[in-house]
Amino acid sequence: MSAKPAPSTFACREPAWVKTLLIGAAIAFLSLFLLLPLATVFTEALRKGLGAYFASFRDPDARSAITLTLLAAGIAVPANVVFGLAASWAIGKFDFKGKSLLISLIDIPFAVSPVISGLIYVLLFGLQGWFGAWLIRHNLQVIFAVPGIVLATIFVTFPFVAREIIPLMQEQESSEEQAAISLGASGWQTFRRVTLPNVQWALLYGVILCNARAMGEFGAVSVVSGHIRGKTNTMPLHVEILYNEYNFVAAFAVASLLALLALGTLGIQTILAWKIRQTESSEGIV
Amino acid sequence: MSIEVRNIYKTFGNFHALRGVSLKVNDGELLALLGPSGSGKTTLLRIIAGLDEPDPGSGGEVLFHGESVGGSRVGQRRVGFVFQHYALFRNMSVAENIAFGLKVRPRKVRPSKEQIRQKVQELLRLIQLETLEHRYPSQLSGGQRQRVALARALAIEPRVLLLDEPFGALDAKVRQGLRRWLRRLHDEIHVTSVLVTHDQEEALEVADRVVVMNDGRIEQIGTPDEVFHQPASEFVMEFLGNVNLFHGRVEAGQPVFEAVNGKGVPGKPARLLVRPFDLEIHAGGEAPGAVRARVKRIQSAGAQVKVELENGLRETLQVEMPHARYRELGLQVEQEVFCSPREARVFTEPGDS
Repeated sequence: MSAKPAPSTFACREPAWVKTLLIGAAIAFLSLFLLLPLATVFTEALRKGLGAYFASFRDPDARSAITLTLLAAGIAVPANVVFGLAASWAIGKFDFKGKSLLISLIDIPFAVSPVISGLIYVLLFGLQGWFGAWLIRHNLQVIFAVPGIVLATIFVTFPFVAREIIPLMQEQESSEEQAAISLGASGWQTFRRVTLPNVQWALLYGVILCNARAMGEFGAVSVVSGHIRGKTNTMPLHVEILYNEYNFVAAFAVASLLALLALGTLGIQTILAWKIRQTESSEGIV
Repeated sequence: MSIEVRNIYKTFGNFHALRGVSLKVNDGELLALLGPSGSGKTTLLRIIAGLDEPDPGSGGEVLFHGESVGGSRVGQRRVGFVFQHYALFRNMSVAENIAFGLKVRPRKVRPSKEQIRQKVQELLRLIQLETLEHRYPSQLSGGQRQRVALARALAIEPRVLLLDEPFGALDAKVRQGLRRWLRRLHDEIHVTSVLVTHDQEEALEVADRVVVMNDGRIEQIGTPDEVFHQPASEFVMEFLGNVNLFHGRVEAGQPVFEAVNGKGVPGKPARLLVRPFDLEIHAGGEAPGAVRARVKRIQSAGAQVKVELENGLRETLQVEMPHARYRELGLQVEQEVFCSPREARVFTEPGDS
């Protein structure tokens, strides 16, 4: 017995030349806009050989940029995991006034240009800003320093985790939680043993996307960073500086790290998406 | 463990789910809360469980074994709650699901790993799913899931077992098997149980006593026999099976049918309800006191033959009879027949009583 094709496939079938043309156009487009730039990054980085490539990472400024990027992402991602879980738990499992407002608020970082978000922090914490005088008095620096970069990164990457979990939590409703509570579980036990495992793959998916964006963020960080070499330069900012100085090998070498990060993210993302689909389809009809 | 609820009110916004409900469930009894959707039966069950609260300040009370449990939350009441859509933990195997209620106990009162394992095995035997302990809920059929949900609820050795439409999402055949199984199980373990259902057949078959609810109030409490044969209200009679409605009057304690004697008979106006199996079709044509009607439809597939008649007032009458009687009568569609009620329940019209 061969599987029957869905009845619509025959009616929807296009002539061969149409298929070839459309698929060809798609491949050409992808190559030109995605594969070619990616290849360029690596060829340019390796133009003067592996020695020059690795030498770029020995530069203290490059190291400091990498460290700062890891630090910013290392703070922003866990913070957004906590915020994202809290927000989606509240939105997915409870009804309250202003719920749709909260959902829109979570999306603001997507809607606002990153440069504007950076500027907001300058206006708040900069020398002339609302809290500027107070910060100076207490000898604290936010803008043109690491705290500003972390704040800007958290803001820009805020929606990633929440966005992934909210739909899942909404769909799963709260019947399993009620069952857990009725069996005597505490709130924390219910969260850890029931709620969290049910969203684990979506959470990881959100974390991966959040991390990629946190490490690659340019606009907002650029505004608050001040571009102080060896101090407040993240990897994307460092790439820009090197490029402007015509230090192409070093610029593309650092860029290649970001490209590798992107490729890795893409790979994990694909696996996770498959994993999520699998758990969803195995749940089947209830 | 007996359960008593006293004077429970519950409103959701401006919807009155419960309007002063009181009832008592005896120790070891299986009680069914029966009613249409929106009658408040699930709300009442959730209030007994502690998943919902009665309206604050309404003075309602829930008592287990004579003691108020108002102050304690659902986890402290030790109730086994079985949800309509099972609510099994999808990330846990069957065995883990059943063990959950024991594993989350505080360390001091938690049984040992070995004790938990034994308890799980014992419950798996009880629900006859010994071989499926490592399966996940998604790999089980609906009936198996519901049995796991029941075992999970029983694992905590609940003082009372509360079942919210436990078989509602299953197909008819599985449902029948499961409810017979549930009844046998109850006879074995004798835990006080409350079952919510909108299926009258289920309630009548499984329960020791049935509580018929309508619009947030209790219409009648009684054994299946009582509620079926002595319905306290028109609603109960209609909800527990098909009925034919006749208008008429009560004269000297006897029902008089308008359809038979014409309008304008003296006496108190009344609604006369007749079960389809209490309507008799006469073999030999016209009979005194019988209604003239025409056969519209015959459905003979089933335990009883169902015949649909239409009387002179263009009202539909439903008649049920055994196959032997049907063959004897030799009914044909469009045939003219006479039928008369053997027995009718009389409810006087509201406002006239």
